Amino acid sequence: MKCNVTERQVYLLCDGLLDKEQRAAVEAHVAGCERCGRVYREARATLALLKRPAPADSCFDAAAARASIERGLAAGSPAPRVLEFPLKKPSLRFLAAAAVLVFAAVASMYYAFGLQTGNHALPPAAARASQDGAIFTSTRDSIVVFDRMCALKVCPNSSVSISRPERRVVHFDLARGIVLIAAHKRLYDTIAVRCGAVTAVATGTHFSVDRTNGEVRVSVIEGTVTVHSSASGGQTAVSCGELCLADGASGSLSTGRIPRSLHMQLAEDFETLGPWAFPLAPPRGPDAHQSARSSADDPASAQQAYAAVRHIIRRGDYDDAVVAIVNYLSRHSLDHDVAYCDLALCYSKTGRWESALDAYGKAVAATNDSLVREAVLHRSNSILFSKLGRYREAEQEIRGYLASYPLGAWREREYGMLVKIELAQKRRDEAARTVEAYQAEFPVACTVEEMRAQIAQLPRDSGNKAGRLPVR
Amino acid sequence: MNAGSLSESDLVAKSRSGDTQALRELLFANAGMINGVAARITRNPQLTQDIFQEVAMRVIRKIGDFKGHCKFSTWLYRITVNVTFTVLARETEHRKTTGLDDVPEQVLADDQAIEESIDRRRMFEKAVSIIEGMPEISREIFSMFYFADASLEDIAKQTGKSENAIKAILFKGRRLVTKQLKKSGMMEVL
Repeated sequence: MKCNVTERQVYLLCDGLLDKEQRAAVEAHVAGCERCGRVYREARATLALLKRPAPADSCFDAAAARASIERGLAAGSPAPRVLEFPLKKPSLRFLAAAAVLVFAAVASMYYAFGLQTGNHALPPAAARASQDGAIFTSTRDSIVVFDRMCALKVCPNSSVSISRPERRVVHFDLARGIVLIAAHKRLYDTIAVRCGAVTAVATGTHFSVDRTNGEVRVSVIEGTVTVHSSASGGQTAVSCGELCLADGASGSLSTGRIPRSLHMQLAEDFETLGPWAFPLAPPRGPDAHQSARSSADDPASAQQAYAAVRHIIRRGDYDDAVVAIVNYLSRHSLDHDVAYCDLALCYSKTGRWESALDAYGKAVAATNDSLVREAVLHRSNSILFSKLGRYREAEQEIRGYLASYPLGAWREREYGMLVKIELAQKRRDEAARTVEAYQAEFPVACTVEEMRAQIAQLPRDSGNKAGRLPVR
Repeated sequence: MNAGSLSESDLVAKSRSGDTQALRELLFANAGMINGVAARITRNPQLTQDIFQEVAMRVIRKIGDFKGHCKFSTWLYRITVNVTFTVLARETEHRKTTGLDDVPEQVLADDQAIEESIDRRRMFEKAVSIIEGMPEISREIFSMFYFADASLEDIAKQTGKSENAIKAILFKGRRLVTKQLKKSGMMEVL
């Protein structure tokens, strides 16, 4: 017998969400239909599982709740909605001070990059659109994104200056207060925060540095940071989830676990810095600058429009996000590389790998930033290799990457993919040569021996046989 | 004026304007609900306490963002379920890195709710892990409805989705949970 009741109606009946008009009919059907009756029983069973009451030993403890609330209040006072009554709020002065500090931080970076690139006294829009040394301020207070792959959050009452002696080296001088730094893990050789005699050095990670009352606290949320003290001559490595306390006067260093409440707070702060705010955020090259000017696209409105797109992505509505990004691309001329990267991300999240690859290709064409191009090429190669299984094409692209980026951030992984392709195609000699080149570049790579063992198992007489691609 | 004599909407208004005492009372008035939701999902008293602490901190920091478009409790449900799943994910990661995952389940079960059968608890954990894997918005809606007992109307106001869209999400989620439990052979226990 064919059912005229859908599975959805059966579940809605079970959850008490069915309209009155439908309820009686569906109930009657479920009572007489074996298949729908089984669906209903299963739905009831999972509902009972989900609706189980809390265990008895987790009953509400009023004293513990009060203590938690007091700890929360001590850790951070509520932020009032000043926009509704701007002039009546006592926090206005605080906000104004924060704004001045943010402006000072931005201005100091602006000045630093201006000196380096010769872009003196550019108006903000032009500075944003200038190449390489440009900076970009996000819409959020006190967050500064620069160089597309590194973001800095300057907390209120903090003072920091930035210099960049080399393309992949950034120095921050923290005079006082707190900064949070989120830098792409692989694209920087050195991210250093100096606090007098104490310096925290990382090669790209998520960490915060707090300089108050003669003490420096380095908290690491992701990656590893090395803290040096020139006063004591000591140094210590601080891993993910740890903090290091450095005494400004004696230079003594001590490490420990980050308290849970601080960890949670920092993790949440970093959520606003990345991955959505910083990874591919936007200074422009000269061509893009020209195009932005010619189309009279207002950076502020483009930024606002893109913030809405990012909001949709954050919600996880990737299909809606694709539509929003395509709309953005048709209406705005700024930051197309960023938009294409996000488009590729949305396609990847929904398993549409061919479309993702296409979007990455467009991102490469749209960008003038070598670091972004490198990152995007690596992602494309990964998709070609691991998701689409187009090994011949992947091999060509991987060889292109290895030739184009002698100091590339993903060389190790690219070598890994290349060796896997050669092993799968039983190209013994070529695989051996690749492993040799790989080891010459990465002498301590732990996978080399494993690769050699796999090569040794290949028959000696097998050569490069066209068409013998690995089976996925 | 004594904050304790104010209605919830007054407490919310005062808290939004920076009144710490009102915020203290507001949080305390909702502490039972926050604990209840966290305990229903985690079934672990220690994690429940951690979640309450984290929710309190978030509310303290974000109370200015509460626009009043929906009930305060619904806004709080949403924060609570989000924090709960964040804490659960961290706990899972912690158990993996510390090797706690290798400890026989019976040993871990000893210090947890005794009245719960191991099978049933394992099945519930499986269901929670399936919910964890849902897209964020679906997870929020699903948890608000089944764990926090929020009404369809309140969820619609809070999330900006239509009631029909919410019903669709609930149905898809429920069917997913049922199918996955069946696939793993756990439905027979029910």
